Amino acid sequence: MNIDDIKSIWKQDMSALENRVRINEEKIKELEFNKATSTFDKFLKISLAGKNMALVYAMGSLFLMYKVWDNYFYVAIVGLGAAAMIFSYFQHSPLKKLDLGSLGVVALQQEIYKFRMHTAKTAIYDLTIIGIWMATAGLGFYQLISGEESVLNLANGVGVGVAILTWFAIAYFGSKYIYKDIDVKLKESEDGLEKLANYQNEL
Amino acid sequence: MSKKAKFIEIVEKYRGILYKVITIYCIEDDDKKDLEQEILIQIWKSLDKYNDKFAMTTWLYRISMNVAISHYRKTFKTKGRTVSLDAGLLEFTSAPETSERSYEQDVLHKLLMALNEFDKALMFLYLEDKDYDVIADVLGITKTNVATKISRIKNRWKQELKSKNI
Repeated sequence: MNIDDIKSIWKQDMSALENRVRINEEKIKELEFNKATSTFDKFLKISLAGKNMALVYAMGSLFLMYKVWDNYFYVAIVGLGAAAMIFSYFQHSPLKKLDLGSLGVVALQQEIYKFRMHTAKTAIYDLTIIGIWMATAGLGFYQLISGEESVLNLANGVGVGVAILTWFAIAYFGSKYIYKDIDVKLKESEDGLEKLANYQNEL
Repeated sequence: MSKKAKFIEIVEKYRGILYKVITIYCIEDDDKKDLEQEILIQIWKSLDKYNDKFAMTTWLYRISMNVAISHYRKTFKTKGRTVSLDAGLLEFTSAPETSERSYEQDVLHKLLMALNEFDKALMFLYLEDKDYDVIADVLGITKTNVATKISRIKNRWKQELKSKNI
């Protein structure tokens, strides 16, 4: 080994080091992108399933309406739940299946942002709709199995009212927690993609 | 530009310098992470005092070297960690295709690791192709002193390699 060559040996060593670091960074960026994609994919699928389930719930309410058809009061109550679910379905119509594999960093970031904004905008409606549907379907179902006018019966009416309120509270606060969690996770993904986009801009 | 944005820009742009300094002063991953943290903290603290008239690289070398030297001294004191040239050099096998470093790169790394913290900084800057003026500025010694020390170390290395038939 010639001591006069140490500078070129050093340069080769350091260039290999920089290369290793660059490869590691690329791998980390790839992992970050995959993480963001899978997180978004999960929530998008849940939302699309929820959107389609709204129609199923609406059909359930329509079936209940048919079953309590003799009593206009319950028809109106259950019908309100069905209408709320149909409204929810159309409200979520902007949600579409996406080919996430074909999206670049910026496009994925935009889609996540759009999804977050949509979720934030509709969250309050979703919470209310779930509560309304649970309450109206619960009342209709109770009417169906009890065969009596529960609300008009004071003793039963208090019990049913408490049950509905509890149900509503669980649905409201449970959904609120879930929506907050979704927003936090998607924001993390969006921030990660922001760093990725900046990194790509530097290259 | 905010301090935070400037800090991120500097670290991203000159991270190569930090990697190199960390690599020559630390062997274990934990040590590398500790030193990285210390250097980053020092860069953040000193950022307000940075004068645009001086080269950013020189400023970064000075900070990272100072932190690395004091970290090395601290680690050396507490763990007594050092690399023996005699212990490692003879065990090398020339297998560049299986090792991340070539045989010669490995020898050079061992030679560097066997130096004391100050000489290590000196030779690092020399290998980084820095002018003697810059080295003198970063390390706070005279240009003549830089030249003398580098020449001595190179001669010592030459003799060591010769005695080991490398």
